[in-house]
Amino acid sequence: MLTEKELREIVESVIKELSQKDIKISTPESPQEKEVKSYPVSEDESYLPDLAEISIEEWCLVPDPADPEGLKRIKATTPARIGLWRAGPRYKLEPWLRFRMDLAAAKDAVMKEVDPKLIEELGMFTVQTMVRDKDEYLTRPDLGRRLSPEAKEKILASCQKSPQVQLIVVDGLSSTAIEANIRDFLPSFLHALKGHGLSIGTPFFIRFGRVAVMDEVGELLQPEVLVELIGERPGLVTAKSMSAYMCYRPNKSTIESDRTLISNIHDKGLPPVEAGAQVAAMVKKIYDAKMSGVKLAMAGV
Amino acid sequence: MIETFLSVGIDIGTTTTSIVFSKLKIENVAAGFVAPKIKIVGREIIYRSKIYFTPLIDDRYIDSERIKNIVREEYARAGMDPESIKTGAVIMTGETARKENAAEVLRAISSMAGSFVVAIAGPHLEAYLAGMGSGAAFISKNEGKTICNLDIGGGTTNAAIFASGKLKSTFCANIGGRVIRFDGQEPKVGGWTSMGAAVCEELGISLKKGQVLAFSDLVRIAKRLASSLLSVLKGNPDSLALKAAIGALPMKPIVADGFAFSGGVGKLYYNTELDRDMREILRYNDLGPLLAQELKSLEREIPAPVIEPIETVYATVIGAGVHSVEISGSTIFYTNQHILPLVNIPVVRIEDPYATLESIKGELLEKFDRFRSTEESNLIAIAVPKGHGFGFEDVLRLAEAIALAYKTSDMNGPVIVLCEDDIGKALGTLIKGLLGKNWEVIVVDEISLEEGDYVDLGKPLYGGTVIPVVMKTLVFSV
Repeated sequence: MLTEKELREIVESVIKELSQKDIKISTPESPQEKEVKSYPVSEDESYLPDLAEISIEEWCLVPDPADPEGLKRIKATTPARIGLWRAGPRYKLEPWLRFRMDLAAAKDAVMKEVDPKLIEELGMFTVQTMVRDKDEYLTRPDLGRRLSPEAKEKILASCQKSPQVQLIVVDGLSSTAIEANIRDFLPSFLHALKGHGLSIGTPFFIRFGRVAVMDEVGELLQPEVLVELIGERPGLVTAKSMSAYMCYRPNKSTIESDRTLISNIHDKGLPPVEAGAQVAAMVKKIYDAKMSGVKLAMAGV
Repeated sequence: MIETFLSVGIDIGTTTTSIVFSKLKIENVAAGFVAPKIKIVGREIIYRSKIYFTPLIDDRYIDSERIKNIVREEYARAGMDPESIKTGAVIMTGETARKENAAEVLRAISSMAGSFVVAIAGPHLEAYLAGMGSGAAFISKNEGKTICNLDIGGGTTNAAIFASGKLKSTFCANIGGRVIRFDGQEPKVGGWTSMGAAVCEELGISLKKGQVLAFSDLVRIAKRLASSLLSVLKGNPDSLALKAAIGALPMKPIVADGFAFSGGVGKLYYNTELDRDMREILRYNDLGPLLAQELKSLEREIPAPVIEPIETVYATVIGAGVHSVEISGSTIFYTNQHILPLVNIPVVRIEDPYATLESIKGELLEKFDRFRSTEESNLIAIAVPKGHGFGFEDVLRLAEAIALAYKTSDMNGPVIVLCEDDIGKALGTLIKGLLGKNWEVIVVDEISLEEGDYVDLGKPLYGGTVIPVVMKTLVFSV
């Protein structure tokens, strides 16, 4: 038989244990849980958290990690999909949905067209390469490097000849990249260019273009320096990355190593507003050195 | 491409003075075809001086000439020419920083040591640099641990707590091995600090110059200093600790995975043998070895295990010479590199970088006025805190507010702006465009500073891509 004292001790220890468990459950502020974000799905089935808002660098789903701090530090160094745990051999539901979402964004970036209203807003006109539609664009890179006869005509009719700097905006493999960055890039670039004492010709937009389309523009307009902004092939980390290719007097004998490149322009890479100033400084360097690409890099100017 | 440059550290402490030379390596670590990212990729110590006693004329004056001689001799011995030293710092610490000619000596030594060798003083900054120099910060980062580094010198204990390599807080107290010093090893009292007087008063030991103290009294004094320091670590500072405090002391037990000791007393801590031979124990004519011994005997009461750092007695000088210099972001803006270096620039910080033009301008004008009433020069650096993405409109508004603030006030520049985000080149270009050709503008990014901090900016490195920066952060929470 238990004495009253023993009984009381048992009850007390059970209550203590229960209350400790309670504390752990009811305080999400306990250090471990606070540091490792878990983004729980709501119990209410009508609501699903916006998966786009989750930063993968902070998303740890490993249950009860041995070293939560260490995991957090490793996660912070990469947007790769690690530490997201699994359900059997598969992704868990949320990471899987997020993967589908990122893949869809990447496909959209390739298949979508840059909004014509945006081009208008920037005061640019549009020309097209030899490519007729997206399918042909993807299967015939060679046609994306050549301007259509109408395009050539329009460019010659509308643009200033032999400018110091010519700017072209090209959709490339990500229309999203152009839409996301051009508004912040352009005013910063134009302002900085003016600060360097350089004048710019007539900027315009090229639909279905590849990088080397700049060579045809160079033949037509004979600029000292040509700057081409083009959407980069999207990945699962971002679909918004834009590149700035620069070339001194591009023409039909230009080869890839003649081009200078600043890539990775997006809000989480080189911010577009900073890229504008940086590209302008690079243009000034190319203009003064009268060379670009590997030649410029090797000259160590 | 790796570029190397030489850096010097000079530590003029309460008891000792030392010098180290190091080679810093910077390299563009970005992958090809993206904007450059120049980082310090190597910090290598190439020469250590011997440890000198800091030469003093008397209790109030540092012997400036003898320190200059030490510096000259060590430069010669190391084969260094001040012309070839690109960066570095002279740090004056502990009791020495309180001497009447301290500021003057600090200036003199930093100007003879090299063109961008800056002056550093202040116990909290020393605490941070000692923790960097001892390797406690590295161990903390490497192992993902929280480490408290206690740099115990002749006059002060400077503590810095690092969590995963990041500084969390600092605290400092006038507890050191030389709060009483002796003439000869009898031990005849030669001098004392206010802390030395305080501890003796509490223990009822009378202090007179020339008087010989009993060995048992020395042990009592050292024990008392050690227990006072322990009370601080336990978050319950005793009466003596409160008298010794420089700024706030922690009021909660320190939560750490390990404690490391550096400084002269720190070195003795790891080498101490329970030695009662009086001549041996008084070999430095002070209480250092006894204090180390008494601390060691309290080791079990220290709230976390004691670990041995990489450096002990050289920690502060290595911190000053090797770790004080940082590198700015790699897309920055400056109109004229010949106005650099600029040193000891007070920092004002914009509260909200997304506020309206009028409100940012008003805030800056008010801060300009406040600073100029207390500072000698009218050089000010404006810090722009981290935002959540800056579009062109945001950067333009900031540029307009800064340009207008300068035009409205009678400040004539150079305009110096430090941004946390990577927007330096864009912001600088816009400010320069708004102010016109007679203005000098410097905007560096990826630098984080608080209101009331100071900053030093050196001449550009790596083909003009980056500039070396020494950040003198003063505000540390306990």
